Amino acid sequence: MRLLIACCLFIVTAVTPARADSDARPVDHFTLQQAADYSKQVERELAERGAYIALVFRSGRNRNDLPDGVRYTHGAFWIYGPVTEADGSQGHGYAVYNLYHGQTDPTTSYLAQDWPLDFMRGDAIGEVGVIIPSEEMQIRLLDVVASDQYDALHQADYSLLSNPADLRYQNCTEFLLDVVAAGAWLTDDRARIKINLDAYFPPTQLRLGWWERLTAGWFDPRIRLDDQGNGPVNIASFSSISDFMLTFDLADESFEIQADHSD
Amino acid sequence: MRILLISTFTLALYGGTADGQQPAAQPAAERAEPSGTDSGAEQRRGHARAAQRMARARHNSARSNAPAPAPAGLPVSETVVNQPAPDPDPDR
Repeated sequence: MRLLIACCLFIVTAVTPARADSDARPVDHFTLQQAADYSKQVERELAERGAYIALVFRSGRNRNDLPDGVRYTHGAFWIYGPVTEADGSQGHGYAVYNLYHGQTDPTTSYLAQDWPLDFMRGDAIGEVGVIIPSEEMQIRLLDVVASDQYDALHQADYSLLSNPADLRYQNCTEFLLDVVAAGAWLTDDRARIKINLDAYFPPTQLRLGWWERLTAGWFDPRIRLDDQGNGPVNIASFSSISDFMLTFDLADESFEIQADHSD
Repeated sequence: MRILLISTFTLALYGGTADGQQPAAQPAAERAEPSGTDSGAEQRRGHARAAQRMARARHNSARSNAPAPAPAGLPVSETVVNQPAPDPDPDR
């Protein structure tokens, strides 16, 4: 009996569904003012570097709750452009381009544009990861986002642990990677993108035991592993996308920004 | 041998081999703006196109050997935007 209870507790703690992994609902771990200040802090850091587009990652869970090799639970493009000031005049700032999974049906996803404050309301740790694409790559990425290609690259079937070299599922980080690949190889043919990523993109590898593999999907419908092989679970993450882009000179730099909540 | 077989199967499934060319990033030739109908997508594209134009202008300026290149930094408004975004998942 004790063994059964221990197994149940293990399962629950290992695969408990978590909010703000990659959906639109806020966590509100910090106050609204802190989230607003942090969002503006990140905007300033991107703007100081002259980034018209950047890849930004947040975590809706504490790092202790994430698998080894994974630092963030959601990533999105931040794109510089005109924003309307409170007095109706025009200023400039960033808008955020997300892939979110649905809330009534978390096995499907949709594309949504919102704002840095929305992004930061899903942050639970006060740290974000940033990748600044090279100037040339920024233009290519903006070409993709501004075109129908961006929608064509979306695969609505969602898996929290989608394989970046497989067509069947997609999550927010894989979508970022697919857009990067579309810009790099100048194609929106997802089949070709997957072939190329299989050849050139070293994924982040998660090691799941057989029991975790067997039971994960029972407790969290977002975890679907039939696009994975028998070995490690391959995913796209901040670290692996960053390494890929830096290796092939698609990015100028990659870094993390800690929130300055001292005020 | 097993790895080779799996690899071959995967390639066959997707119908081709990887590009011989590694990913590289030279800007593509300027594209015509695509047409679209969905209002959310149009708003998104409008914002992205504005960034696209600014990024291309900076790139072209840097290549034209202008005597005084524009500073790298971009101005950012102090306004924290909290506009309701179009909701593509209204049924939730």
